[in-house]
Amino acid sequence: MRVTSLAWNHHLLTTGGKDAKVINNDVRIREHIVESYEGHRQEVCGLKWSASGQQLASGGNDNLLFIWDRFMASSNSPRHWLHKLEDHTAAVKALAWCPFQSNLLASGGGGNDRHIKFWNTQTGTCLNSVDTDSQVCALQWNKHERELLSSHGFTENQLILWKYPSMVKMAELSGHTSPVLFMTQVLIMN
Amino acid sequence: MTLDAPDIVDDFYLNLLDWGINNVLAIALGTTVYLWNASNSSISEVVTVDEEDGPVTSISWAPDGRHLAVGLDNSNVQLWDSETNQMVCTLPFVLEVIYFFFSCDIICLIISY
Repeated sequence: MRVTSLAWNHHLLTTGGKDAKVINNDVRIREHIVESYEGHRQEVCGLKWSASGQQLASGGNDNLLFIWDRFMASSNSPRHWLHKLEDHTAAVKALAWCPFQSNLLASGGGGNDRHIKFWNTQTGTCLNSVDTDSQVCALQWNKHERELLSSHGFTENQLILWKYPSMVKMAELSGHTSPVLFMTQVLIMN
Repeated sequence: MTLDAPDIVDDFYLNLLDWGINNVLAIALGTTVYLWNASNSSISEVVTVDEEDGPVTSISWAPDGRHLAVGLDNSNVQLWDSETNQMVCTLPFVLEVIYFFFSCDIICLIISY
């Protein structure tokens, strides 16, 4: 059961994989499994903690997007979700928390979905949904401007820079000849 | 700038690229994890896992910019120290690694005396 997604929150390493489980591991202690989040039915391929470390977004091949609250009171394990979001119609891998607005998450759907959706993760409300005409593989917010970069697979394998919140296309970058599966950006601490 | 990524696993579900706050880009190509230091363009290898354990299916820098989590096809996660290029532990924890962990602490203790 391969481990396909990892996300850090201080000393917690959250893992998600083919077994559909999302597990918080405290890497400092021997009994490292401290919490588990159960809700996915298929492989977990997207996993991102919010900047505050309070909310975790997880996306899966079951087309589901969950929002989990780190501090939600729970007497029983595993923990219950804050929101179960079922609007995507393909695997949810691309996840990105907005750096300038708390509780705002962007999510992207796979080949049969092709939409970028925006969520208020406090209320679970879908704020906007944009059809990109291509599989959404990864999303990155611009840390300096109100812009979002998306990378795509079938059919166009392109990158698109969007103005937020208008979602006007600022640029569309073609050149890759196969899906742009992964994106990352550096966050240098000054 | 363009960097070659030979043997990168073409699988939508994996997460094989992460840029740490140390300005070092980590990438998994098949069974090997490489680091590219963006400050001086140097390349180093962290680990090549055994064929039966791989390929590497996910990587993620810890917030300290020093430790790198490496998820594997065999369901394990390895935690690597990029400064010493040594494995700190695996999840699930195994006995031998716990001992290694303890022995490191003891060595540090002796040095500090």
